[in-house]
Amino acid sequence: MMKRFAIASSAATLLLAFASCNDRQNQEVMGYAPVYHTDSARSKVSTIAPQPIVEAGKIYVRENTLFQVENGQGIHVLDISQPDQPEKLAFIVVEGAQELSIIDNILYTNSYNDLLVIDISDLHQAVLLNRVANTFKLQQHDRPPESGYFECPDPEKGTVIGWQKKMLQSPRCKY
Amino acid sequence: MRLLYKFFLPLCLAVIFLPACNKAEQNGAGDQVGTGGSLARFIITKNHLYVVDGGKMHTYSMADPANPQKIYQQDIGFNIETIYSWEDKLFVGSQDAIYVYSIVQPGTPRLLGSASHLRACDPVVANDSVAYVTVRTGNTCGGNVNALYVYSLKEVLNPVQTNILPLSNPHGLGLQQQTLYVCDGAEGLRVFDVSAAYQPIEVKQIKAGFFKDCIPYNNLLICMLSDGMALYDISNPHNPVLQATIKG
Repeated sequence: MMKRFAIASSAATLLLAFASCNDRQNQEVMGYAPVYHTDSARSKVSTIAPQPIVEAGKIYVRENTLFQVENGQGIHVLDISQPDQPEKLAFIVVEGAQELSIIDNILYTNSYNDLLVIDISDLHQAVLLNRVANTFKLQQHDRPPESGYFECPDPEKGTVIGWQKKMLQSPRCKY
Repeated sequence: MRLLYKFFLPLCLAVIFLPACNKAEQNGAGDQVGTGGSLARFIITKNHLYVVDGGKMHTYSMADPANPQKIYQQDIGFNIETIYSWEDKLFVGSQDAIYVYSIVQPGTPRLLGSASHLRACDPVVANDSVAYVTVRTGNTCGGNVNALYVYSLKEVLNPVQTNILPLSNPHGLGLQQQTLYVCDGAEGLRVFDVSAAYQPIEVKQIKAGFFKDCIPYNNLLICMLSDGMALYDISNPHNPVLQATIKG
């Protein structure tokens, strides 16, 4: 039973892995184009005034400070010493952020596939201490969120950090 | 390992283990470490930062916290989603399995593959433990079950399913003492009395948004909503009282 499942799933994986690269010549179709992250786009960490919560992400609490990731944008910092009157203190800009953890006054987060080390001794002025570049694959976008045509990713252009739905001219990839 | 895989095959997403209360992180040397939700992919414990991505676990030494060094990296499986620590173990949740690692040697997490090792673990955990797992459908999860699964972890490597409670669309969950908080998507927050660990009894449902995760933090329950956060007073654990909603 398990074996059969294992075989079936490996077969399925193989099929997916070898998603065909079709030629869709001279044809405009709706599909996905990769969005790239290049080294030059690696943002600097900065602290700015509180921002609206739009893409609410994961949460983390330490003592009276609450953090919520703004998916892909950064981290909201709130004072919850009075839980009935939480107060937004600041927003730490971290492009590509999804995760966070804290030890003492050091916050760890990710900027796409980089691990960032940020000093938060002063919550109003976070300081980037360190960056471990391309250390994991939290962003893995080998293919678009939906099956169909897509523009084949070009590794030369950088890491794919997302997909944009748009009209494509003769896309060569499909799954 | 095979048994483990088989039992947890249909499972997806968040996992929480008794008697841990939440993702409380304990680090060595009295360092102050905060608490994350059950959906976290980062966890700090034993002076190491563990990160799970889709398929691997990455281990960083925090000997110098300002300068983490990756000292180990290992394949785990497919569709890894969460990591959780309890004492000298890491529990990694994927869409179809839970992996239990020993971090007796924190720098080199080791997959626990034998019952003999199991018998060597802390007997308090082994005798008195239960796993609560949420299973939900969704485009990335597959399957057709939305439920809270209860597993006896008397033998960590041979978990026995003891109960299934059908739910709507459960996401993260948080446990504090004898109360389990389950975030059931649009159906809100469900509060379970787990005095009888394997027989959760729903005592309250609060429909006030789309609930994704929650962290019990002493007398406060901090909830992640699809559009912000909500804070509840849980001085009476079975009756969370809204303190504030943070949106926009």
